[in-house]
Amino acid sequence: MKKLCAILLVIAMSVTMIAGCGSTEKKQADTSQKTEKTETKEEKEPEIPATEYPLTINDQIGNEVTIKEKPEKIVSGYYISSSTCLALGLKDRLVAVEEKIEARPIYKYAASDIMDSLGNVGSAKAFDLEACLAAEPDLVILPKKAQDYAKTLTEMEIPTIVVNPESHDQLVEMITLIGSVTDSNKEAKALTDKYDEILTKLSELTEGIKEEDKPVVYMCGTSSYLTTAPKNMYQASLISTAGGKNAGDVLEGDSWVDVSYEQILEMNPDYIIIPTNNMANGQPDYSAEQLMADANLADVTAVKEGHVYNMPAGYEAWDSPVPSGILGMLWMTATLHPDVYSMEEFADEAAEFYKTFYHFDMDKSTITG
Amino acid sequence: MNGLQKRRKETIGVFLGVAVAVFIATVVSVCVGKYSISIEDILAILGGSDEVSVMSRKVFFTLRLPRTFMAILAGAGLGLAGSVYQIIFKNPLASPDIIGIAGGANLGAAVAIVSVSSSGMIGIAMGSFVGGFLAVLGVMLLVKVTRSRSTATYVLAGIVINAISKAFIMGLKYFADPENELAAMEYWEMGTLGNTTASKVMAIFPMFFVGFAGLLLLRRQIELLSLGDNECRALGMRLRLVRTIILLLSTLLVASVISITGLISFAGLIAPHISRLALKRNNSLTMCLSGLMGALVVLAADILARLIYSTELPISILTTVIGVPLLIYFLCERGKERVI
Repeated sequence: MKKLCAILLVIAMSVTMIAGCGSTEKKQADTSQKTEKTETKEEKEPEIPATEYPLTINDQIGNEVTIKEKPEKIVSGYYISSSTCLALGLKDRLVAVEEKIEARPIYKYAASDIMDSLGNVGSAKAFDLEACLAAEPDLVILPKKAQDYAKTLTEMEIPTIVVNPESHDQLVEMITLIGSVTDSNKEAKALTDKYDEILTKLSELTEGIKEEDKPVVYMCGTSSYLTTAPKNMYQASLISTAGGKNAGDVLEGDSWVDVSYEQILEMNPDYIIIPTNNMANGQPDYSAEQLMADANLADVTAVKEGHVYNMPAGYEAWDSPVPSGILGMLWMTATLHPDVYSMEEFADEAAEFYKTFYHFDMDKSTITG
Repeated sequence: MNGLQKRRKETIGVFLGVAVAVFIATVVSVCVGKYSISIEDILAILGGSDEVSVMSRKVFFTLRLPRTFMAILAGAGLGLAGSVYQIIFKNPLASPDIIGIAGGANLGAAVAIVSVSSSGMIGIAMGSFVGGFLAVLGVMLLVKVTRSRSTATYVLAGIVINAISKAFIMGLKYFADPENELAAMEYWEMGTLGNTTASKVMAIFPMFFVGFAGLLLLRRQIELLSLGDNECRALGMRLRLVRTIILLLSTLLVASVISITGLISFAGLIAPHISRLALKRNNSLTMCLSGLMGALVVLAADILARLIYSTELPISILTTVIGVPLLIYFLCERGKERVI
């Protein structure tokens, strides 16, 4: 009886083992099949790899930052990085941003549902460390101006990256950086690919324009038209990309410089552009009408021919390196060379841009009038 | 009770009152902030308990406590130095501005903002400290060149150095980038304690301590200086040496404070006046009370700076808001006594 039991037990165990092995083999086969399937899919569409954490990366001032886990609570203390976060689809991971967001229209369009719940961490000059920590962030993004606060946060073991978007290239670098640290590489690539596409389009549009047909453009400052963009400022590159000559190229410097009426008369620009104000819902401190009514500028070609324009207000400062700054180059092209690129085409392009990256429908009539 | 005893009691009363107010303000200051730490948590942190979250502990020790400590240091330093200036220059308008420290520190900070922007706040702090010191050395050099020994010469030399600093600052502001550098300069002039951290307070504390302790030790000489140059000489004091040491100590004190806080020198002008009116005399006791009063004004201003608006306000706005009513109150009190 005992022997019979032992034999039965051995048989039962063997059967179980064989069955077990069988299922494992099947499972293994299933897994290898799945891997094969994924590999075939990957071959079809080259996938952008996901960020692997812990991630050690250099920020835009060369600091080495280690991010242990995928950040879920992001504090952005700078309007350009905040706008980038919105464009990269990180809206729901933002917990606090810079002050005065009600004066920046992009929030109203792209983040109206979270505006009330977002914490306020002050400005780059007066960053509120305690308010930032109260939001319990696992990633803080700060501009170079606030690098001292970044140092304090790093000392407190809060992963903090410093960004410095002062030119188009640095903007692209910043977008890629934010994409990497937040595991939004795909979105970041889509945005920077869009820039490349627009820049190629722009160079195609403007390559046929002869040097003598390029108008002289005077770019005013936001607070006064007696300040302009000198040679090395972002706005100067904006004008040249759009097929114009910056009147301020005769002046040295990389930030707004004061000029006199005499200097403007000497420059005698064909176009005068009033940029969008960063704050105050984009409204500048003065209008094109006020500028044209200034008797001291009555003899300037731009005024005589009525070529004084406000950059469209109500979205973002397209004359600066913000994520939608590329639209400023397109708008400028449409303004200076409506024969090669019309304002209607620009309105379509701008609407598509905001729809794709900020997920809202832009009222095209705000552009075409 | 004779008059002397009554006066002593009054003095002790005033000192006690201000000390209690400083203590209360200190307690409030460590409890107030955007990061919420309850009073129970603070007591637990101070008691060394492990039950409080790591972040609360970090916020408390890295930001909250150093900030409160810096407010006390700043107020006490500026109050004491202001009082010393008012005594030795016999001038009720004397403040750290009078011998060029504020102007020099402002210029030093502006130079740092424009030229070494990458070094951030540490560069600005060092710039302002060096600027403040160089300005006072400039004043002393001018006094030496003019060979005039009167205190009035110091005041005039201070005006000259301040004017020169202002001219350079204007030049720098004109060429500065309005969005970054100019804004940073303007903001520095308004002053804030918002960027105070433990490491910054530790960095300036040795210099602050030397200045503060040195001035307290020299309180008798400071009192004597208020009598007049001839009297001092008659009493055998080495006038120029003592005056130089006092000026250098006070410069060390003020420059170390404003290198961290920015220009908040108004506290140094108003605290001595309030103290003098409260004590009805101007001697070494007034100096001490002025230090306490300065600490109270700056602490209260910093608490309000954090509380009254959604973001922090510059502290200079609030030292004025708090200091001026106090000054008016004591002026009215003195007016009443005269009428009686």
